[in-house]
Amino acid sequence: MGTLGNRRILLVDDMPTIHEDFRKILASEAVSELDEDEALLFGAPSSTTSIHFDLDSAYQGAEALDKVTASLLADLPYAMAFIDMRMPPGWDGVETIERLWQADPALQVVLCTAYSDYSWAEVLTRLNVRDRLLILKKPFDAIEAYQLADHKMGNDQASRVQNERAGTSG
Amino acid sequence: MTLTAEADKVALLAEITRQNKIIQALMNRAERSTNAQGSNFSSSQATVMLEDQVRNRTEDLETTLRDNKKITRELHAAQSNLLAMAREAGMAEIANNVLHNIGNVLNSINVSTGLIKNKMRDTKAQGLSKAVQLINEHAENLGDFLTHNDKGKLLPGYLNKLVTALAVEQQSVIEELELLTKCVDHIKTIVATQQSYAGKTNVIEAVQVSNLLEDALRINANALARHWVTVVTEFADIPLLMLDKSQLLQILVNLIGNAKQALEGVMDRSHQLTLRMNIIDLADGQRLQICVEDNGEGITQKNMARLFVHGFTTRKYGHGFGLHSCVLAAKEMGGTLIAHSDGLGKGATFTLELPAKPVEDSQWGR
Repeated sequence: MGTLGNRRILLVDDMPTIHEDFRKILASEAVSELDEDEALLFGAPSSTTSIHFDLDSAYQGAEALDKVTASLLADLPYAMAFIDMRMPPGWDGVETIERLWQADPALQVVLCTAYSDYSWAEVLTRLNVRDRLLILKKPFDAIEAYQLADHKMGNDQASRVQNERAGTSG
Repeated sequence: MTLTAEADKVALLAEITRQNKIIQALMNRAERSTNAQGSNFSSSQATVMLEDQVRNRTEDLETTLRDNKKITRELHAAQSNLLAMAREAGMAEIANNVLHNIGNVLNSINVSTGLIKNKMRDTKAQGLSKAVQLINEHAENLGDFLTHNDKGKLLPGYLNKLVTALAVEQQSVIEELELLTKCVDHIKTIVATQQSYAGKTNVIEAVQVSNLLEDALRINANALARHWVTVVTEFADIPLLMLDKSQLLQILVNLIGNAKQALEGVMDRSHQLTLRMNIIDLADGQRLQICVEDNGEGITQKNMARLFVHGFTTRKYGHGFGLHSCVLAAKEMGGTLIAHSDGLGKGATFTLELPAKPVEDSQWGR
């Protein structure tokens, strides 16, 4: 319900610095007084076409599941989640995704991996991916992460609307 | 014929009969005993059979012995392979962890540099040049422009805001650069930690200690040559010992590296590094003793106490890992590492002592 314009993103990684990185990349700058003055003085408007994202953080798979469950109860589902492959001591990325999809099948996921624990084929056999999963290799460029988030917003919108029309929940 | 001739004849016949009986008895006896061992011919035949049997048995035994030796060799080889695989698996695990940690740090570096680039590209200083351009365009009647023109009236206020914005911008770039430096330091630490752990696989094998010492010297060869260090070696002729090769190598490389560093700043005498190795007999068994001695800057009383503490370093770029992990490794191997110095400028000797366990073939290396 009312998920148009949903900009909620869940970040799932055991390293706090990665959360910092995402916030830097996905944060947008508000239009400042300075920009307004510049528009008046020089005429050219500054391009602030960046989308505003709503970021939440979880540091373990289990914590992520709690947050997703809560989000569904509050009818404010996450549009997507960035999930790390390795998050000791708890569930790894694949297991986390399995459980999150049990709770919210429409959740779009970007799996972040610094190196290959599983082969991509193995991941595909374990998860029923459909079009819900993309992979992002660490270290990534800001533009890659941003683009994925933007793209996943669209996917989420489409799939949730479709689910509503089909009468399935979540 | 006379009576005596007749009597003689009878006596003679009797004697012959008597002799015949004895001979017969003897022959019977001989035959009996010959049958017991077989005849002469069958006795030699038996000997030949026996010799054959002995020869066959000897051949069998020799074959079995050869097979045994072959099996023993194969078992040794298999064990070496297993040791190598165990070490590789352990190191692969360590390497994977290192990759994961470094990957994460690299991510932060990426994001930081991307941010700095973007900030510089979109810097508010561009507004400054536009403002100056506006001023130049109205240079003829600047006062009037600033006081009465709509745009001109905004300019002073704008410039003030710009100063603040530029200061904020500069500050955020400085912060990103500081973060970058921390990230690079973090990577250095990760790599250094991994190196100090690389030896901790606890794999015990037969080691030729003199070869290991030569290896340690070779690893430091360039640095030693660069600083004109004369190396003197006094190695005793000792048998193979059961040791953790990579941990021992790690300690030796560390000690030699430290000695080289202690010699670096010394200008008033030629640089000498002495490596001694021998076995000493103690009440509770034999110990392998290795001494690394330098005639470098020595160790002050004050520093002696903190020498082996984790993180202690007198080096500008030191990370303080070396001696602490050395003493821990020595302890892990059941030995000791101690330092001695007569004081500042008087060189130092580091003595490593480890239990000397000879290799025993029958135990297949354990």
